[in-house]
Amino acid sequence: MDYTTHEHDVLVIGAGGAGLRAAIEASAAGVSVGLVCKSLLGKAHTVMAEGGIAAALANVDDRDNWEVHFADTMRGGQYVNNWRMAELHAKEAPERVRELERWGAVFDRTKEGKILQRNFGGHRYPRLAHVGDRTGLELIRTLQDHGIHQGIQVYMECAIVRLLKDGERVCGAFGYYREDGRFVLFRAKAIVLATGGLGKAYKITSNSWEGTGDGHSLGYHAGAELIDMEFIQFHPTGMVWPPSVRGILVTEGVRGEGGILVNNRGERFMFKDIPDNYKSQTADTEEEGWRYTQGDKNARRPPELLTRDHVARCIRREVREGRGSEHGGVYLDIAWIKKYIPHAAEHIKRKLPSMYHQFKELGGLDITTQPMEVGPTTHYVMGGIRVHADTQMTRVPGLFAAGECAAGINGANRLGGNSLSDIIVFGKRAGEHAAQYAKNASLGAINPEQLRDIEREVVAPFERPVTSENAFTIQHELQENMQDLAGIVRTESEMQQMHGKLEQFWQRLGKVAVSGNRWYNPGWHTSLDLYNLLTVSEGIVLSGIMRKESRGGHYREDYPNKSEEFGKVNIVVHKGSDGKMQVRQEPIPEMPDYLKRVIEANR
Amino acid sequence: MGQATFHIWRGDKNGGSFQEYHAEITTGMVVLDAVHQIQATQAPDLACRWNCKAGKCGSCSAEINGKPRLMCMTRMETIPTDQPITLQPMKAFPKMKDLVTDVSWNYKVNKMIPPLKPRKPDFPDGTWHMTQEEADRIQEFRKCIECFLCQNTCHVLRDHDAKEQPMFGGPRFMIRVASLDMHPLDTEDRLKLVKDDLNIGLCNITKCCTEVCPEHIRITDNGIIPLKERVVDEFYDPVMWIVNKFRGGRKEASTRTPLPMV
Amino acid sequence: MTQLTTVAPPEGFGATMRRDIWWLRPTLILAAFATFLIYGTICAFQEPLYTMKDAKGNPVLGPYVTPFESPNLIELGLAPAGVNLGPLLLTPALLVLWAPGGFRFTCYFCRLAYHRSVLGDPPGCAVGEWKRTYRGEKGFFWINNFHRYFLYVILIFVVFHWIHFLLAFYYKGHGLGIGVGTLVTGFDTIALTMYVGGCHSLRHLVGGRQNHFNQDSLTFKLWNFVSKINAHHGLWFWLSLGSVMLADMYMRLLAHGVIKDFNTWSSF
Repeated sequence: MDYTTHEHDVLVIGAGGAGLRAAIEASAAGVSVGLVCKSLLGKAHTVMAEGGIAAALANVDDRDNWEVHFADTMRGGQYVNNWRMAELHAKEAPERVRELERWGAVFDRTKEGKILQRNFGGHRYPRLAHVGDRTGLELIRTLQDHGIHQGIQVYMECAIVRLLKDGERVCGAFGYYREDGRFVLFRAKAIVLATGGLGKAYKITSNSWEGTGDGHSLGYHAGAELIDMEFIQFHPTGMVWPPSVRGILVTEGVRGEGGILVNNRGERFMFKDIPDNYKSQTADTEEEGWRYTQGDKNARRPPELLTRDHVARCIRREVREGRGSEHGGVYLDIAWIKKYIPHAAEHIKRKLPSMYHQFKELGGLDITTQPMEVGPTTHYVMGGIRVHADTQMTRVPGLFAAGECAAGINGANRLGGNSLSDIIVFGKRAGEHAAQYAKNASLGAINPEQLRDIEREVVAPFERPVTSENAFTIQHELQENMQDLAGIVRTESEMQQMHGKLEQFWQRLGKVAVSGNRWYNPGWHTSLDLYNLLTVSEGIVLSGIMRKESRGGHYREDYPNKSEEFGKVNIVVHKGSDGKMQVRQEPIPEMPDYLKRVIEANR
Repeated sequence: MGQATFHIWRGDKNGGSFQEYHAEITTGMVVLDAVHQIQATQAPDLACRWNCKAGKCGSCSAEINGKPRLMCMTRMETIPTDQPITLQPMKAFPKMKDLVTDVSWNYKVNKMIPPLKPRKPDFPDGTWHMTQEEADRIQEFRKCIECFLCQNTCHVLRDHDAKEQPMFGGPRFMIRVASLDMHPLDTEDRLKLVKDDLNIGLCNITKCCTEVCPEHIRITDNGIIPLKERVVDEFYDPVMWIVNKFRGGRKEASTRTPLPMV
Repeated sequence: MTQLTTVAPPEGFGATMRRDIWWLRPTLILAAFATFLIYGTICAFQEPLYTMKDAKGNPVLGPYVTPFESPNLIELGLAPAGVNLGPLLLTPALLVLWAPGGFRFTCYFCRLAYHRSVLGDPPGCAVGEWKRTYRGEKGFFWINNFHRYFLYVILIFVVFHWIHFLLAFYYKGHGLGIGVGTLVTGFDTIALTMYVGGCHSLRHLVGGRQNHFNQDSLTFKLWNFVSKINAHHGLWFWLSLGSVMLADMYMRLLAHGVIKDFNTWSSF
């Protein structure tokens, strides 16, 4: 069979923020690094991140520090987070942000000339370093332009289909170039998975085509465990109209800058339902909420800035009970701030330039005068590959994971802004420890038999009669079903039904046929992505069935309340020796006293 | 809303031709949606790059009815459907397949540009003082999503193919250099690179780059022309050259507070 | 799916898949340039207006001066009058026009206009051009690097325009007043000032060359001010080019008695 071989000490799969940061760190440690990405360099989903990077720099409010950030993250994650990861994240995020500035990032500034920070849902103080509403682009461009001078070998438009193992440890990855379908083998001493999320398992999503859960699936099939897969974040504000843009993200920054949610009766419905553990931190009046968004330290946050899971459910409730907007969402109004400030239109355009642009161009709507229509959209997966908090290594020796495809820091719900800090904090750690691991390891042996099997499997769709299954159709149906049966509100019976359907989808995947040749063939690429999508969908459904309570991103109509018992466990899935997915509960380790005290102090 | 006819260029580096497809048009639909529909129903192997579908990643650049644009930001309502809509790959780059072109040359140019070399931090925690006014100017360039539409439309690359000997860096990398040269913390001098290697002199200010920029960056007025003026300072204006020498080098001079206006 | 006969997009000068009337703008610009060049050339070799006297021996232009003769180097004693240039006399216009000509020729906006409209380099965006060696501003157009020297000269001209504008309110021997000619001169002066005030080189020199700004610094305020005018540089380019020609035309018609100036000075 025909393939090219590349050898590296560390291979990083995925070139978003986490992957780039890992590659930079590994390269700095003096090992040879290969970086593989499915798209062109710099196009990864990180560019879509808008609001900012959460880091307790305390530039705007000097009461902020890592302890408050840690407590906020744990509260947001409803205490099923990996507390060690949350601690490391809160402590290291500020240094990672300063490092970005050193590498050329240009953040918005305070009047004193420091990095400006803004308010965001679930963060007690203004904490998000940002660049207008295109922070993700700034982050990825900074890492990209820094990274290209570090001697990293980049393989663009290259997709990995399987990880290879030598005994227990990982020893390589096999994939193809999207351009011409050539196969490629990467031999590596250590591999870092940084492939991002899996939003494409759902119909309404803010994710791009790349979010097919590749890393989750690669890791799972290579023997790593997945945890917390039931926790999917539905971002409360995605565009709902026109249909072709449904799901595209509307940044939380709109609410951070004072935007309010209103139903078709003109009520600010978020005031009606404030969870007990946030009551003391939430504004009593409209006026207090407004002062908070404008930096008044004595004011408390408006209810629109409660955690995403809660806001998303409130929106869904309004729509269900007939108080929704024309096209099945609710109204998000930023234009109302003209009540408080002169030149509101200019202010909005300066603070939210790409939102203004997005609605103007795609929706034909001027957000400085009209309210937007928004509704929940699948945004992020809290669950993912289980890793060691300090090293980011999975239970497979030599296999590391970082960023959205790894799990732990976010628990049941992620706070806005924590993902950009997550990817640079743990991307760095993964790169550092992967390099360290590689220095003490040799290249593993490749089994040619296994390569032939993979190749046969991968090209099989070309050999089937064209009249059988179409990959696009299966993907479409999977997304519809996941949206309906394992979406924002779940029940036992619907998830069981979905589980049954997944079995049918697996069978249909075995019959997928594609036409044309291997040159840049989207039909073929989709058929290969489906393998990953089905794997992660199964993980979501099985974990969801097991967690018989509602918590964060996992809401069950049949168990609408939190249960103390489930608050002490994570749900873990792995591939059994029979090839079937196994699910189990595992107790969360006891939090050390000093962290407990931090949480108590910040109640 | 009815049907639209598309003439889409199909082929590879060895050649190709336009082929006709039809798509159902619904409210708010963009050209990329139509391409996806054609992929799903008529041509599953139709190649096209895309990622975010929200004008933020700059992957789906193509020429729609001859105009270089992002497919995801071109609403069908803005294009007349009474005659077939043509879709072509970007002309300035080698064709790969269908609407996909080989843009790797751009990544090579980017690598030629030395990264930021910041001055010593102003504060003990390793950070710097920077005003919003200073940031504003370079943030405009940093909005660039690298869709390479400017590179594609620039006639120096499109018609004269100045990619090697002499090489023209193209608008994208002119503003990238501008974002570094105007960076208030930077101490590296890239003007010789701009003049002799990226050949800023090949730009004749015809501003097509600015016209096609989906991020509305004023590439020429705010990026290329100020860079040209800086090149003049250093290489063609003896007075300014002496003034800058007297003040300890151009880069030094530009990082200090300005001389009072005489 | 139908195979179409069009095999490849068209190539060569003017070739494009664009459907709009992209050629209209370059054509209009070409016409405007041609008009101005012809008009300017003819006028430059005419008898100077400032020397023309009416029957009573008064200057025909009264208090006015045509922009083509401002500043008047001969009157200022900086150039000898009546020097023979072959069959022609050295006119003040000839002595003056090289400077605004050079300023405009090297102007960043004007470069766009003539590279597109006159040289077709390119005739329009995504429109094909002639296949020939292209050297951009590294060949002959290298001289465009000296735009700022023309700027220094033209700044002096702006001062003279203002002087002439102010003097157009005062007719020697008849006192203060105002006429259509004053307004014509005023419009031309303002247009020229705005055109020069938005010059890219000026923008660079007043502050653009700096990397350090803060809201309160003079540099920032100046740079910001020039930048605002600069955003409409093309508009002021055309307005001032048009106004200079119209103002001269007005003065010329006035001088030759074709029209009469409405003003507050009864005797003129």
